[in-house]
Amino acid sequence: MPGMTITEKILAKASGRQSVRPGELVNARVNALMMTDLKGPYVFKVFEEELGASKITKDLNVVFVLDHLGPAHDIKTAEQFKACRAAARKYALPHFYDLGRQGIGHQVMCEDGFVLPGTVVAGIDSHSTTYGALGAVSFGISNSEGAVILATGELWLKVPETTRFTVTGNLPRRVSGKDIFLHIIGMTKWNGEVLYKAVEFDGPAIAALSVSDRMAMCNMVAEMGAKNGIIAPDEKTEEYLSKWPEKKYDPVFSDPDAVFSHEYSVDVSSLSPQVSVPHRIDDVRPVETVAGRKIDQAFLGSCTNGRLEDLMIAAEILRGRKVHPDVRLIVAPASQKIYLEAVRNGTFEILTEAGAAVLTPNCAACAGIGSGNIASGEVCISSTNRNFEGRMGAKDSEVYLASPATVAASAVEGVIADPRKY
Amino acid sequence: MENIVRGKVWKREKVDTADIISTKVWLENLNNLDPDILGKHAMTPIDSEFASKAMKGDFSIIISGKNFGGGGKSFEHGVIALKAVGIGLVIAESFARYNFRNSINNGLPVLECKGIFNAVEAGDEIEADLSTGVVKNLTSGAVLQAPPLPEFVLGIMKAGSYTAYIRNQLRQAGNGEAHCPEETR
Repeated sequence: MPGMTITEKILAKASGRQSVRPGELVNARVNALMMTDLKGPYVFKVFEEELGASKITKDLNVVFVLDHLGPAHDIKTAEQFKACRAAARKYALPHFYDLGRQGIGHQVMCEDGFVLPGTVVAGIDSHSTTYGALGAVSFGISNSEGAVILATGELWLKVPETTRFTVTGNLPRRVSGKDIFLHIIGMTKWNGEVLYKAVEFDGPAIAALSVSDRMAMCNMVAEMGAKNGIIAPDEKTEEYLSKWPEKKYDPVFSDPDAVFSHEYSVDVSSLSPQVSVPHRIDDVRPVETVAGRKIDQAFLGSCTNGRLEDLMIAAEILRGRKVHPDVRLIVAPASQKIYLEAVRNGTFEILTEAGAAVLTPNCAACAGIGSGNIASGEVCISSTNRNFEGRMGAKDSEVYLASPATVAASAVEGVIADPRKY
Repeated sequence: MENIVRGKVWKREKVDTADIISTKVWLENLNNLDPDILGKHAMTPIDSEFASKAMKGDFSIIISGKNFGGGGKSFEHGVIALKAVGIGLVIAESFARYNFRNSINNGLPVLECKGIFNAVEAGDEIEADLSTGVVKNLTSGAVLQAPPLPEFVLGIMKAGSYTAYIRNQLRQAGNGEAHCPEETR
């Protein structure tokens, strides 16, 4: 019997099986569930009305965040938040992230220890793939599936085939995990080798990445049409999780003889910073070929790249410089913890002096439903994960996706700029 | 033998979500999953006679190629439309994730079966055993093997939807929590 990939092993364990094969359907135990202000109230509606359920299953970590809509800017949003709070109170949810201790769901799931290697974690949001950075199998699900998990702690899953990307080479200065991912999606496009499959990132260049950069990569596998993205745990994962010595977990790794549906080798030793140009995520070009494109806005934030090291890279580039007078730079840290750290270590002082507008943590401009929308004809360079037509505002606005370093360099120059100069 | 599905075939290699139900119809019925309305529009972007023929009983099984239901969002209108006109099974080389999950969650059986596209012609008669994954082309005699649907998924099919299935489980458990039987976990 051939070996199993990390994804297969985790799904086997979660479904109480010795082994599973791609294509099989299993009923798996889910360790944690993330839901947001957009969907939360509807999930509880299904839970009560369609399932006839009354209590949440034991041993399930339920994390409920107010992240997409920011502080209420209109009555409709205020009512939505009110409904979220009512549900959180009714079920006495211990991990409800209201304004003041909020963060983007995917960030708080990882930074507050709800994601453990070797477990299955689900979120009612596409970018729940982020948690794979810590060696978990994670993915986005629907409202009704979320309600099923609340009631049972279980969910049916298809065991996916796995495509492995082995990444080698020393990453050049000012080139990040985001750039590696953009390069990979530009290379593979939306093809059958990744659709509905597990995407496993491996190799020395991945081992060298921070957990934050690994999160950016797994976050974006949702954009490939993959089921989940995963990186096997290592010393960096262990260190990240060492804040919670009481949390025990069994790290899981792909067997040496595991079967992969496709394998790619990617050498990043001469990789340029990458830019995904409007309106297709997989239309990716090296920064030097799009440098000079005039921008109106630069956005630094989101579950993809709103972490402390993202903000610090931007501060390094913006220290002693000013945001270009024709550009507004909007910065939204991914959580209150990150916000506080960025205040304490001077990052926000540098960014504010440079002329950045710093927001309270939330999804902000990313999804076009928070703060920072762009008008018709406007161009934004953004550290986020989607750039389809109208994603950030007007239908004929344009979003270029890039790393935090490229966003910061562009904010200084007023045009898309190469961060390697800084 | 309730796990055996038998019927005639409608076949198309590439079928996206926007082919199953047009974006226009979806947008017009965003919060309305009325099978009678949606059924009339099933597959109209690629086959204007699909709904009427399916309802007449000309076919009840869809055979397709790779990534059936691709390009979709999480909306469930397409699956509702197919069920409404009497489609009882979709067999494809592979499925897009949202479509695969939505189908099972709404009680429409789906089998992922390598080689199916070239083993079947439109109009052929097919017999599939969902519990074993064996797909027989009764017209040509070809036999293919797909991963079977496990007990709990057959339970979802029988209940009509994932939520109905879980509701029954919860009721049997007496209240708050349900667990699938040990052997299916």
